[in-house]
Amino acid sequence: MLPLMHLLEEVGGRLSGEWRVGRANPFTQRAVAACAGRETTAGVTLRIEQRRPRRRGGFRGRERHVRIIKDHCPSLARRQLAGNKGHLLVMPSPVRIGDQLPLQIACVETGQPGRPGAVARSVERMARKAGIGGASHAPAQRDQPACLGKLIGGTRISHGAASHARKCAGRHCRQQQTREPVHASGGTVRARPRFRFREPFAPTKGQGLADARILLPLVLAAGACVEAPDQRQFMPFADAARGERAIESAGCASCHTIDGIRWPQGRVGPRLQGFADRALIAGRVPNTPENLSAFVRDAPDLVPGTTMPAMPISEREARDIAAFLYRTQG
Amino acid sequence: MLEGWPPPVFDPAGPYATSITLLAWVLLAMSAVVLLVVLAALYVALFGNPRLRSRLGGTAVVWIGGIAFPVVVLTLLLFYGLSLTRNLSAPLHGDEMRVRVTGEMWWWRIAYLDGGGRPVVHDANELHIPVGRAVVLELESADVIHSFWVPRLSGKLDMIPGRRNLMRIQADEPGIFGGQCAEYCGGPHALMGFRVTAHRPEDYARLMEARIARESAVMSSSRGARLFHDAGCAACHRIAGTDANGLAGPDLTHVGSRRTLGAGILPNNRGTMMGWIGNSQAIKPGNRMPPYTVLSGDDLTALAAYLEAQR
Repeated sequence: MLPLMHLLEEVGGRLSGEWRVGRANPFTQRAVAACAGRETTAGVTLRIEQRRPRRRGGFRGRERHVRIIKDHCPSLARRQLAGNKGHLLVMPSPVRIGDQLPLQIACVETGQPGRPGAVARSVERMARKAGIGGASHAPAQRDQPACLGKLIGGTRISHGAASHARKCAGRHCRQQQTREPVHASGGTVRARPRFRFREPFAPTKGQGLADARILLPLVLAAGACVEAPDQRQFMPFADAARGERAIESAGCASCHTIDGIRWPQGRVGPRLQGFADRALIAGRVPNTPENLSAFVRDAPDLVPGTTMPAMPISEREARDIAAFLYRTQG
Repeated sequence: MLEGWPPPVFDPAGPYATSITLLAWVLLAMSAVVLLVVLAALYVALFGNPRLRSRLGGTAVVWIGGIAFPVVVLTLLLFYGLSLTRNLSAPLHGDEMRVRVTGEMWWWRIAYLDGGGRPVVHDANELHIPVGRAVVLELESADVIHSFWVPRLSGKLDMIPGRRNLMRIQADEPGIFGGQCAEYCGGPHALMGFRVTAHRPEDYARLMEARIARESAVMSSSRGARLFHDAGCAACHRIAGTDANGLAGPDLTHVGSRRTLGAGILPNNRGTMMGWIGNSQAIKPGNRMPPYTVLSGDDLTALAAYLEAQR
C-alpha cells in the first residue's frame, strides 16, 4: 500500500475537527517526493491546512510548521523561509499529521496572488460544497499539474488516486486514466482544463454544519502524471530571493522585462515570464535547470551566435537567477 | 539590525558632511527635549492636580515658556549652527583643485580644471577625487535647476542656469559615494544619479595622468569606431582621439571604466551596455537618447565591446 493511502486514511479518521483546504504546488510536491525517496511526484499528496480560528485553544501552527519543514525538508525550508514568509502566518499546519506522517507534509507556498489556477478554483468549490463559506485558499502558483480532487467523507476512503498513481508512477503519461467507477473523472490540465470531481459526499438531511466539519478533509492528490516543466526544473539548492538580488545587481532587466522586477523593464531581449513552461532556451537548447544556469552566466558558450553576452555573475548566482526565472508567472 | 542603517545623511565621510550631520543630531535632540516638555505640560493640563494646572495656565508660563525660552534657545542654536558649519562657507584659498560639474537633463557633465580654470579632462556621471583634500566644485546648469547632493560628503547645492555655485567636498577615506540630483528637473529626475570615487592621492595622480594623456592620444580606427560613427552615436557623444566629438550627450572617453551606466542607475557590464544602447527609453523613459532598434545583435555586441574598451 502506498503511503498516500495511509495518509488519506489517517486524515479521514483523525483530523476530522479541523478545516482544511488545499492545493498541490509542484515545487513542494517535488521536494516532498525527494524527501520521501521517490523519483517522481506521482502519488504524493499535499495539502494546505487551515485551522479553524479560536477553537479549542489551538496549537501553535506556525511553529509547528516551521519545525516540520526544518525536520523533514531541510533544503526546502531554506528556500521557503528565505522567500515569502507570509505563508507561514496564514497557513498553519496541524500537529498530528505532521508528527505522524512527516514525509507527506510540506510547506506550501502561497504563490502569487491574483492568479488563481484551476487547482485553486476547484479547492474553493470543494470547500463551498463542504459548507465552508469563506474558505480562503492560496491561489495556485501554476495550474500546470493535473490534479484529482477528492472529498473524503469520514472513514470512507477513495483509493482512486493512489491506485492510479501507483499504476503510472515513474512514467510520463500525459493522459490520465482512472478506474473510478461512476463519478470519477480526471483530465490533465492541458488536455482538458476543466475539472470534475468525484463527490462521494453529499449533504443529506440531518447533516448540519457540525457533521460537515467531520467531513471536511479535502485532499488534492497529484494523481495525474503529467510531468510539469517546473517539476523537471526543481532546484533544491537555489534561492529565488537571492536570485532576484543578483538580477538587480547584474542589471539583467536592462534588456529583459522580467516578471517580478519592477524596474527597469528593458525591451532589447525577450520578456521573461512563465519560464518554467518554456520548452527551449533561446530557441535552441532544452529548458533545464542546468542549461538555464549555464545560459544566464555565459550565453555565447552554450548557444554560439546568441546576442546575449556573458554576464559577470558567479555560478551560484546563476543558479539562483534560474530559480527565480522558474518562478516567474505568466 | 535595520537594513540600510545608517542612512547616508547620518553616515558622514568627510569634514563638510560631518558638521552637517552633527548639526542634524543636535537639532533632533533639541526637538526631542522640547517635545517631551510639551507632552509633560499637556499631561499636567489634562490630568494634573488643580493647583499645578492653574499655575500652568498663568501668564508667567506664557512669557517664560512661550516667548523667552524659544527666543533664547533658538538664538543659541542659530549661533551654534552657524559656527558649526562655518567650514562650509569659509573663503577659498584659490589654490584648491577645481572640478566643473554641469547639470544636464538628466546626467552630469564633469570637467577637471587646471590651475587656470581650463578644462583638461572631460568625463560624465562619475567624479574622482583624492582623499583628504578639499575639492571645489563649480556647479552649473545647462538647462533647468538641478541640485548636486552627495549626502556622505556634503550638503545640497542647487545648480542654477546662468550662475556658478561653488561647493566643497572632501572624503577622509577612499570609497565610493552615491549622489543624486536633489531638485526635480523633469521626467527621469529620479534616475539622475552619480558616483563620487575617492582615491588615495597617489592613485588619483596616476589616474589623472593617464586621463590627461588619453585626451591628446589619437586612436586607431576599428570596427567598433566605424560602427560608432555610422550608427550616429558620434553626433552626440565624444570619444577623445576619434572623430566622435558630439557634445550633446555624456563624454564616453572613459565609459568603460565607469561603475555605472545611465547616470548612476545601472551596473556597467556588457549586458547593461547593450540594453542601454538598444533601448534606453525602456530603462530611463524620457531621456534624450533614442532607442537604437535598427542595430543588429552583432552590431550591438560590437558597439558594447568597443565602449567597454574605452577606459
